[in-house]
Amino acid sequence: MNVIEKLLPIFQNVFDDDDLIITNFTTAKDINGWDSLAHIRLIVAIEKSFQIRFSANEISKLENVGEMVDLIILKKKNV
Amino acid sequence: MSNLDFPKIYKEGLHIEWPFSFSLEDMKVFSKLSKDFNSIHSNTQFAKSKGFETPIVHGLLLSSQMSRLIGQELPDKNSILTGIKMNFNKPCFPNDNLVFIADLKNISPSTYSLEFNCKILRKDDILCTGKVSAIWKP
Repeated sequence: MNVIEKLLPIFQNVFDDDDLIITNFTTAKDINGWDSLAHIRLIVAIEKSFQIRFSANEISKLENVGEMVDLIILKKKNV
Repeated sequence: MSNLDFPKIYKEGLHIEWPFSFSLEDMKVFSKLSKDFNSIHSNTQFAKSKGFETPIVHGLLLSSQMSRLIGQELPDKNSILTGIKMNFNKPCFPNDNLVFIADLKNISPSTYSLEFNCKILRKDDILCTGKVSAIWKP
């Protein structure tokens, strides 16, 4: 299972939408309810699922799901 | 989001607990506030007909201790409740001597998030288990 496939159920759970689809180009504007609190829940869920920690600086730079995937891959390589 | 550090007191494993109980009078107040006037919480005969010796405490009145945790019992007053999940495993009765226990399970420094595992005990009985999440916002 690749990273984006593992991210999908996390997004579906956080945004309570079983039909949600994400791609590398998905941004917060594309998903209803992706506000600041949902973003926190999403980041915490990703950190727990992948057993990694982000810094505030790292997540503030993310522009889309693809960049999040790249960051997760980088973090997992460095564990 | 700023780059502040959590106060050092917030470490995974932080353990907080306190004793508490709810009286029938407390339950009446909660019924009035929540508009949950179900007889299971006030009428002994009705409660007996459902298999309980006395009225049972509202589950969400028990959950109120999660609000107390985030609002009152943490080392500082900078946290805001963002989520709760609670399972009610056994009934709770008026004036039961209870203990609320919280253990800080997860800290996310990037989002200033805290997640606690919680339980409510009556002696050795685990009445409730759950999770509380909050953000630390100085």
